[in-house]
Amino acid sequence: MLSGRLAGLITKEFAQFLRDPVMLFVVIFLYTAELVMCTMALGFDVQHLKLAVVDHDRSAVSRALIEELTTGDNFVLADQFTSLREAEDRLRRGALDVVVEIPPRMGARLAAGRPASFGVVVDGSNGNVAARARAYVIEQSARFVESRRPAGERRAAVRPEVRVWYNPDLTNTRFMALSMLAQAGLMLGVVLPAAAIVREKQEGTIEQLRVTPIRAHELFIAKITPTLVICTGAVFPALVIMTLMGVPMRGDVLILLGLTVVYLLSAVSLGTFVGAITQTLQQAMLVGFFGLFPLLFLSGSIAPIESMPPWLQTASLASPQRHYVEIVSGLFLKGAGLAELWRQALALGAISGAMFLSAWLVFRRRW
Amino acid sequence: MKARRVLAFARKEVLEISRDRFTMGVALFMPLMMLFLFVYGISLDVDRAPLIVVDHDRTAASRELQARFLNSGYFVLQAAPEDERSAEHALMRGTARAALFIPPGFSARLGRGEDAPVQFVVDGTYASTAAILSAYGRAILHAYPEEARLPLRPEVRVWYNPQLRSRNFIVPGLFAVILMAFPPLLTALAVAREKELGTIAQIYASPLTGSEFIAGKLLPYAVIAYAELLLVVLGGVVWFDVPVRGSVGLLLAVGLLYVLCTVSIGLLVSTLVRTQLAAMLTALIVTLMPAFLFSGFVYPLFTMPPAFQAYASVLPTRYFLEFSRGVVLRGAGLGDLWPNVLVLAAYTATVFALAAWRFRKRIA
Amino acid sequence: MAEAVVEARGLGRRYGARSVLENIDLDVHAGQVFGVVGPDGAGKSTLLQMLAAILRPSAGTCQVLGRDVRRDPAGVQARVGYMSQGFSLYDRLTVAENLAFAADIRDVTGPDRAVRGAELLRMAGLDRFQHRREGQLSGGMRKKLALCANLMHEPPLLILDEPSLGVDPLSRRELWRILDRARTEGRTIVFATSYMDEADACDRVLLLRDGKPLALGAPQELRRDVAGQVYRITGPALDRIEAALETDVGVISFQRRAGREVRAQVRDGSRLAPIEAAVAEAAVPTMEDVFTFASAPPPAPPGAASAAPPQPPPPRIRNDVIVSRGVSVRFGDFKAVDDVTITVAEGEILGLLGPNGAGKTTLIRILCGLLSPGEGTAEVAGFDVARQSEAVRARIGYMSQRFSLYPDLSARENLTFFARAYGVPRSQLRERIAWASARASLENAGEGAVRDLSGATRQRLALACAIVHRPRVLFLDEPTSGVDPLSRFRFWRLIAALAADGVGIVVTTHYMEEAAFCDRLGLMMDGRLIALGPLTTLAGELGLATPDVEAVFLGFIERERAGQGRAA
Repeated sequence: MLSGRLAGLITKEFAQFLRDPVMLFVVIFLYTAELVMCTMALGFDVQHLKLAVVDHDRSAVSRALIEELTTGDNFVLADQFTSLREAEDRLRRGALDVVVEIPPRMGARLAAGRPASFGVVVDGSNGNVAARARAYVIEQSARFVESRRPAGERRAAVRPEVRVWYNPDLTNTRFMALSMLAQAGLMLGVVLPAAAIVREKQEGTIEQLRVTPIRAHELFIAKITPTLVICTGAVFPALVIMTLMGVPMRGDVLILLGLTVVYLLSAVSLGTFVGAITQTLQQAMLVGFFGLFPLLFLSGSIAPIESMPPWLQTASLASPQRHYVEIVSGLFLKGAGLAELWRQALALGAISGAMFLSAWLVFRRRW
Repeated sequence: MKARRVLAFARKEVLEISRDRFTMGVALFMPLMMLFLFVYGISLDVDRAPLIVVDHDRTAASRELQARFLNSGYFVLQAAPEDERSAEHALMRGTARAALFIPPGFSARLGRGEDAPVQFVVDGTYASTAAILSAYGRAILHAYPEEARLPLRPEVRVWYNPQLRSRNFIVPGLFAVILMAFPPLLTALAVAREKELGTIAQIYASPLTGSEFIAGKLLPYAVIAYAELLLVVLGGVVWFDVPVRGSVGLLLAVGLLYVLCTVSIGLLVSTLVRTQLAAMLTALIVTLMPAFLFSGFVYPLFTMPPAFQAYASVLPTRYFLEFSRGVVLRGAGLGDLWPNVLVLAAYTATVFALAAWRFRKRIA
Repeated sequence: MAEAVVEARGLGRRYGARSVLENIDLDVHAGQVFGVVGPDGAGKSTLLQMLAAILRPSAGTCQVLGRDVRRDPAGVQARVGYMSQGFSLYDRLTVAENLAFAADIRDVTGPDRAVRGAELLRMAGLDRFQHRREGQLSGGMRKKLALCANLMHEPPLLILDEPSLGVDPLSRRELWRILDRARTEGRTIVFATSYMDEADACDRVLLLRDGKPLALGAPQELRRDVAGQVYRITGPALDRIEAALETDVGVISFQRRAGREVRAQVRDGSRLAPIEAAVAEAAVPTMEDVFTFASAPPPAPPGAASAAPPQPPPPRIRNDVIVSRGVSVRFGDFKAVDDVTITVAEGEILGLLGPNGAGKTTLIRILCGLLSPGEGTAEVAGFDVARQSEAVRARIGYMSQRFSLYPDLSARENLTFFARAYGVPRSQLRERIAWASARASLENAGEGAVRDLSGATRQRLALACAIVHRPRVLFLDEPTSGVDPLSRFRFWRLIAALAADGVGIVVTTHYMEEAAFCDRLGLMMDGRLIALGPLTTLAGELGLATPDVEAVFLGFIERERAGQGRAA
């Protein structure tokens, strides 16, 4: 049974929340425009890389190789040069991604049954792009060799059946959309309760509250309730947007809601802590913001966690966003259920417990 | 503009900043923290993808295929379970990124001269990693069993960053991003603070002109921002061992121009807002977020839709980022990158003029 | 003939459709002290900002020092000294650095600069604090320093926006010593104030209300204009006198004064109806009276106070609701409250006076259970403040200096929230809120957000919120700061009515005339209670003939300082 005091506090928090147009705008913006915008812009589809050719061979084979490399979506033929030196200049200015240099008599060597090789230069300025370019070249030349084998010489081979699960068109869009969903929850979960608590301090109303019989934990509960309710509610429009952007929902919506509440609890626990340790809105925003940065990095949204050094992988366990990204990608993309996701839920619960306790201890000293 | 007044104002600013530990801490500690976080956190190096192998054949040939995967340098063996179910479970939980299924009778089929199907599954969650893994997987499978005698081999050389170390391109990118993240924020806050505390009234009711005020604010914050740049350059080169191919002097010289540009942006923002909170939110929206997302720092510009590419072109970060990567990685010089420098110079002049014009000594 | 330093014709300012100031015609001559008087939101700051050329007028013309504020704002800005209402210096710079900066940006150079700076600091009593950060000075010292900073370039015209707001009487006196000096140097001073004694000392005064000029003239002229309309009424039963004044339609306003008298202002042309068992005599009008006349609404608001007719105090034993014994609290080395022993009885009003930083607010925080006393014990409403703070909190009301209300909620929402926060049962909410609103005379607060209410209405709403749970003890920390005199008097009547109900009240104030409304006064300095007792007793202790609060205040402080000097 809710005490009259607590009910009064919660009513007041809702009234204030709903009357703050800026905050409402931020909530809606993060869950809709930001989600759509970042998802569209940051698809990270590395295609149509600019490839230049220096062909010293000019044989049918070399032309076929060039065609093999440039017909798919991976590379486009940007230019032809007569020497690598000419191409180098363009490469240094960043106008090219890949240069293929075919040595003289490559076709002749192959026809004579002798092994041959050709040179590929990849601009390593952007490691991600370069890694993909390199992988594409290696794969396509292996396929080229396979396809050029004369029928008579056909030998037994491995028939590769390569599948990409959960995201067959290999687009970053789905994962990005899910990351942004997690990001919105964390940002709002931290910023809104922190702002609500600090505002009382800044307006001086906290003094007035302290002379009432209200207890610290009642204030906490009242401060986090609107954020929890509104951000959980925001999952529904986000689901519609997900559907529109072609992110399939393979799991159970009820599990999603339940785990979202668990996630938001961990986010608001961080927000409560920030609100407890700061005195002004500006401090709260700075601390909140720069605290959010590492959490975002350690979430695996930007780069996979397994490419991080082991100590950072351990540190990433403290990021609620990491666990939630695993939860939503499990639910949406893989159709996972509680059997796969209970560990993440447990981790989120542990984070919430620790942060609420710290916030309460800090706050109680001055209450 | 009277130099005396500008200097007097700058001196006051220096005294204030030096007594504000919080700001000093944010100014000098945060860039270093970001450097470490970005370098360790944004590593898209694909070299240890956990692989599950389900080998139903258990012959020398199947073990050889498995060895090809593990010796390629891209995969590490995560587990070799008996059944497909546990492999699927591992992919679903995310403990493995790829799985290789070798069916029974694999070597027998090859022996009979038939094609032997092998299934290679990649977790597509991280599209970038998945694309690379699936390409490598295909290449290995195509080449089997005769990799060593493959008639035509590409000899891939990666220039400018042969080991494809992420940090080699993250660090020079950070020079651009960090200078857009902190200096504008700090500057915007400093002016908004004067407005909030009411000290601006004293400035209004004095002979100090708008451009004197802006210049006096710009100087100390440009020095701080430049110190941040030096700190990050030092950290990147010394600690993370990022090789600088081009001229460090050129980088630092154009860095100074970029610093003036980012501090001016902070000042321009500060003329548009009244409170520190608004200054902070505006700075985040117009500087930090786009610098991070729309500068080509992590997400290459060419992978974005044209509208966003156009948006990215409006921001100065992109130009310094290209410049700094060009100099550091590719050893490019002014001859290659002069257009970027020109854009930055024009940008700086415009923003400073706008800020001085916008700063009217008026309450409303 | 002195030339005009300020010449304004039809000056006005609007923000969008809202006019904040209109039709101001005024001339200020060289060497004059010109006061702008009016309640919160009257347009005083707007007027001064336009005179300093930092706010563009939207109507009319204005010449300052022979320059047009619209066409040559830079010329005006460079020549005037302008001190805004808040603190306008850099809190992280020291006293000396702030002064040097003020001189630098105004091109004050040369050898005179150091001499002048030292002289100003000495006059302000700040020379000992040259290397202290501005932010660590008391409010009064910060104001004095801001004034010095504005005198460095020897401006012919000083524009000061409420320089003495929130400043204790001692600092106020020093502030005016500097200003008097500036005046003898031939500077013109235009300043805004809500202190009527300051207004009285001006050469000319402009009364503003709701952005419109009410009166303009020399104080003695303005006072003469209302001569014969002000009465002093004395008698054995002041309650009955007030009840009679309440029903007299000719009475604009009345205030109970110390010394068992009621002062009444009567409409022009009407006469005071005779009151039974009371003596009414004409009194010499003060600026307060002038202001009351100028700002009185056309029809006297009937029933405003009659909603809560003061009842005669019940003839029973008055229990002590506050008992503190030897209470002390330290912040590091600094003793904020030092060995304070006081009692407050039911229905008693105790006024706490003292310079800024004397420990008044800290003492109140201890008694509210917000701060644990390091030494000593205190009981409030029968409970120990340290050990039973929850029980104490349920029985007290607290109103802070800043009228801590939620600006984005309406008056009713604020009241409902505080009622529920104090645990008022749902079934009694409506009744309690109605009672508190009536007690605080909040008839027209409406449904709009609190941020749009006037300062005086916010003040009464804060009072209603503090009493909605019927506390036995009420703490009011500078409840009248920045509120106009008429609203202040009205507020004190509400306080008196609550005391008559048996509520024990502790109140702090910087307005000396308000101290006269208290039953007893406690004077604090450096954390210690240096005097305690009724005003007349304290005056007698100092050997003063008349019970003048300011004289008592300064007398005790000087005595204390002298004592310290001997001890040291």
